[in-house]
Amino acid sequence: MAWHFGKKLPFPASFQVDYDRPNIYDLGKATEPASQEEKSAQDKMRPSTSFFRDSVKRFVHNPVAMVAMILLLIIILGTIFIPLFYPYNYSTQLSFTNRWGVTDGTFNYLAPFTYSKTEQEAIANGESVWPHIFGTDNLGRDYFIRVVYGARISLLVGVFAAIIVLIIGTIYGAISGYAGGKVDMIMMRIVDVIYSIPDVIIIILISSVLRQVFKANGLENQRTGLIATMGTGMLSIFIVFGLLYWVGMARLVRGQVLSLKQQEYVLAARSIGAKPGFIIRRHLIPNSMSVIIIAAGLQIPSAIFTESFLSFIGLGVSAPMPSLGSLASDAYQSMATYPHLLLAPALSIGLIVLCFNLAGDGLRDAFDPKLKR
Amino acid sequence: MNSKTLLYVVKRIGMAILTIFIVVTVTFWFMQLIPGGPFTSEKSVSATTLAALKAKYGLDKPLFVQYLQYLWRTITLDFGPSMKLKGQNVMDIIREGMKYSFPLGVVAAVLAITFGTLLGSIAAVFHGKWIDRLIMIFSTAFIAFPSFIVATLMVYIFVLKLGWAPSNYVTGGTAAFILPAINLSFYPASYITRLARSATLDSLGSDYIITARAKGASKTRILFGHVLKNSLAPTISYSGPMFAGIITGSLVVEQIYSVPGIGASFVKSITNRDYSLIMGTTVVMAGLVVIMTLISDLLYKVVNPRVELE
Repeated sequence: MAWHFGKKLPFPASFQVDYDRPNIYDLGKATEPASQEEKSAQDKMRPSTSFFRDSVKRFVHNPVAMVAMILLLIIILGTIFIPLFYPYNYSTQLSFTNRWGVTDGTFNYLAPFTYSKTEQEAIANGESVWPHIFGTDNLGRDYFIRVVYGARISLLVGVFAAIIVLIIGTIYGAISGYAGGKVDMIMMRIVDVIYSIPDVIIIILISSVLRQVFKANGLENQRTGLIATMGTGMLSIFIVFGLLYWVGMARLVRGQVLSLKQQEYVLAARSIGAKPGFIIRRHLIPNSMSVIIIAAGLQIPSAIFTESFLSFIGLGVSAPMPSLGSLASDAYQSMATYPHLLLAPALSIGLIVLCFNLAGDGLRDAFDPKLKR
Repeated sequence: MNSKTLLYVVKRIGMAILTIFIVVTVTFWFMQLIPGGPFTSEKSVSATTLAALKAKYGLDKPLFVQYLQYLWRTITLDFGPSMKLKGQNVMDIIREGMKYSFPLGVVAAVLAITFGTLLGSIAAVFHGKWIDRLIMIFSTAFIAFPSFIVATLMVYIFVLKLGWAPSNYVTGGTAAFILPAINLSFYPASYITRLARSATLDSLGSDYIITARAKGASKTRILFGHVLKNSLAPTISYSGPMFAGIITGSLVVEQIYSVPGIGASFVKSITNRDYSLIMGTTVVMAGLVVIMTLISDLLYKVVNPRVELE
């Protein structure tokens, strides 16, 4: 072995001879360029990873959040696709409208997986009848499809409310955080005041008033357009969210923007004359997007919660469109005799809210380890 | 009390008054949005009767005068007569409701703080063990399930199926009182459990606990003398929002257990469209929440002097 003292020894310089080691001190070869094999021996074998991939990896390794996420996906896909092929409709009263064309009162209040007289006869004649998985309600409507529709409405309310909160809160928070100084102080004082308003009481007040306003303007009976498809109850929920619930998001975004605007690339952008609006759009919001979206995701269960609460005290989505809250509210009256009518929507709300919370918490921990509680 | 603390207290009180003022203002102007006024539903009312009715409730004056009158009435806590329940004053109805709601809310709060702190501390001490997992599973579930669902399920199981509690609240006595109180405490108790758990975990790992242990303090002494004090701090700062939560919960829980309290009368006033009662109840409830938040914020400062004042 030819020691050459002009070169630094690799550390740690062990006195044990490693026979497998390539002879890097052989002067005869030192002037030759390294072969491809030698080069690749120097490569670190860990593949490069992005922030996103890293976060996904963290998320996948969280079993609770994963299970919640998968369940949630199943529920969402179910609410989209089950009504497409399901043989019953959420508003069809089977005691009057059925494929046998007979009026049969035994369609009302069927227990789960039981059949009315007409259906029993049909089955006896060899016809196949789709079972009523959750039975039927007081008007002979298939309850399973009503719960599916209710879940669909509740999810829609949650998603739209979250989008409203996301848009208003992000814009407000970003402007407040970027402007700083007096503007920031005034804008944040406004947020403080709205934040300290007892929201649910005001929500009840606003939505009971809005209902009357819509009703008086004849919007209740409109056949076409936005309000006809959504109903006044849902619209007032959205308005309430737009008025009150964006403040949490605004605070979060402001905090993000405050820390991001100290970064060099923002200074660089400013020094080449970029306008504040451009910097906010181009740099600040995209860089806080993961935090914003996760916070919006956590807003969804809160909106579902609020909607079901309002439906239960009679201020939510209007009949015949079911939401999980209004289904539970209707079933509450007949709870003593038909408990399954209450259990199905009640457990659905709990399951959906639970899944959203668990999956959202998991996502937040995975994508923003700093925020971890 | 130094000048900084005094400034904080004054600022905080000013903020509370401003909030109540905004709630009152929003309530008043929102009610004006309702088209046709409160007497449109009674169709047989003649023009003279309508005028007399309007004069009685002060609705014939210009809006801004009505607003000022309303502000004054709020300060004196006099919301005039109810518009649907003839011959009853709004404040009397609220006071009557409070007789039922107040004890219920206080017991629920005490239950929530006691059990929340206890379970949270247990979970933290047995961190990672099965008992910790069990407590966390239950607290997560009770946060996810809306109170009206828990309430209806509990009525179904304990009143209708098992018959442990009487169904009539007013004549039922203590037995009928316990169930709604427990019910109201579920959500705040679960929340406090989580708060207390993480606070206890934090303080269990801190230097002064290690010091205390190094000095040979016994386990119980450490738990009750050092840890508990620190795990109570977030609970105190949560007690304001908890009060708001209990009030909101009472809206449905009282209805489900047919408690003739302020929450139930609020819900009834909405369906009845009894506007003066809606306004009165909103203002009283919101005022209570704001005052409780104020108290809990100030109390938090007393318990935890290290907290940085804004």
